[in-house]
Amino acid sequence: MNITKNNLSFSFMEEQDLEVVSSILMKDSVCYYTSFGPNTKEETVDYLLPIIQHIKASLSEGENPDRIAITIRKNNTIIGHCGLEKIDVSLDNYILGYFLNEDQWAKGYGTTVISVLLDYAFNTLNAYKVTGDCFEENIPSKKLMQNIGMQLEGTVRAQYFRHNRYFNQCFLGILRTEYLI
Amino acid sequence: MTNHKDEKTYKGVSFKYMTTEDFDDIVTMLENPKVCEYLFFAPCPREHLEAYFLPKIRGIQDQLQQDRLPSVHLFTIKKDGRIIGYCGIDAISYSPNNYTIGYTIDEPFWRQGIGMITGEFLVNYSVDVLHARKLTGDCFEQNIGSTKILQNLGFKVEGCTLALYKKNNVYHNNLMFGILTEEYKDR
Repeated sequence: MNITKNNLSFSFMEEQDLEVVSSILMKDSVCYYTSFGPNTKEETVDYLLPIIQHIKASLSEGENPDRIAITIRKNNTIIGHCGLEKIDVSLDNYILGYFLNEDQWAKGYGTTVISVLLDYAFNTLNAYKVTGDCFEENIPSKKLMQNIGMQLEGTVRAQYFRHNRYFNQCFLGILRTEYLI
Repeated sequence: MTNHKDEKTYKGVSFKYMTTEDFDDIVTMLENPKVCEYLFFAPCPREHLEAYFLPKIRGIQDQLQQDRLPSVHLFTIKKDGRIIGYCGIDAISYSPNNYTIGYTIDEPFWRQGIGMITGEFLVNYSVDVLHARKLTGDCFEQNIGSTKILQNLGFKVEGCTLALYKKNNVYHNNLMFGILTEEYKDR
């Protein structure tokens, strides 16, 4: 994968990217609205390295990987990562996720990232549906998913306990038939 | 002091942590296509059910042997000494005191109020024994029976995930329900 869109470039994550990706996921600010973190480097590597290996193994067998981690660069500098993961109860249904370093927020990059993920899911992976989720309080994430056409499917109350309190979780989704109009 | 090994009887229906002796009856029940109509994972080969149920059952029985409260809550439902279904309470990751409930009743025992009794047992057990703060439940959108039971228990619809499940080449929407324990107590 080598995709460039709106000055951002996207490629399957490589082991050498993990140092910078880990440093981003060590930040409280980046992980505030996530169910985990901030992560140590070891935690990030433990999570992402098997995905990197899975991507390589799948591609070498001519198959699409079920779990994908993508490094996001701007001017050859890693500014975040994103990914897709097949939902195990539904064969062609994927969930997306993304992280941008805090100095890259509020520049419209989130919209570019999600549009690249949706294009890849529907056009390359032949997905039937893509789901995304966010903490209800994470208004920018919720808005950018809605602005790109994902529908709010529900808000599960008290789904996560973080920072000594409960957070609601929003689910958003878009079907292939809605995306490829 | 509550003995977690004991069978618990509620409104004429008994609930007991599942044992390996119960497993064959559960497999037989899950061979019935009508029982499986609204289950995303069944019918399926026996080996799949073994892979799902047996490690849970062994974990439960090991913890009961040590007089500990099991960390997995999978119960066999009996009426008049006969296994008529199973039910469970699963902890939700990243959210302490947050659980999801589920149950399956064998076809001859439908429309007799067993689902509602099971739902009440699961909610009571979650609140009284597990100190739950929030409970969720879900079902296929077209599963009117389970929808009514969850709503009668006081659960509110929190969303409907489109096309979550693909079964026999048909996509199914999934209704999500939730109840905060203060809502249950205030009911």
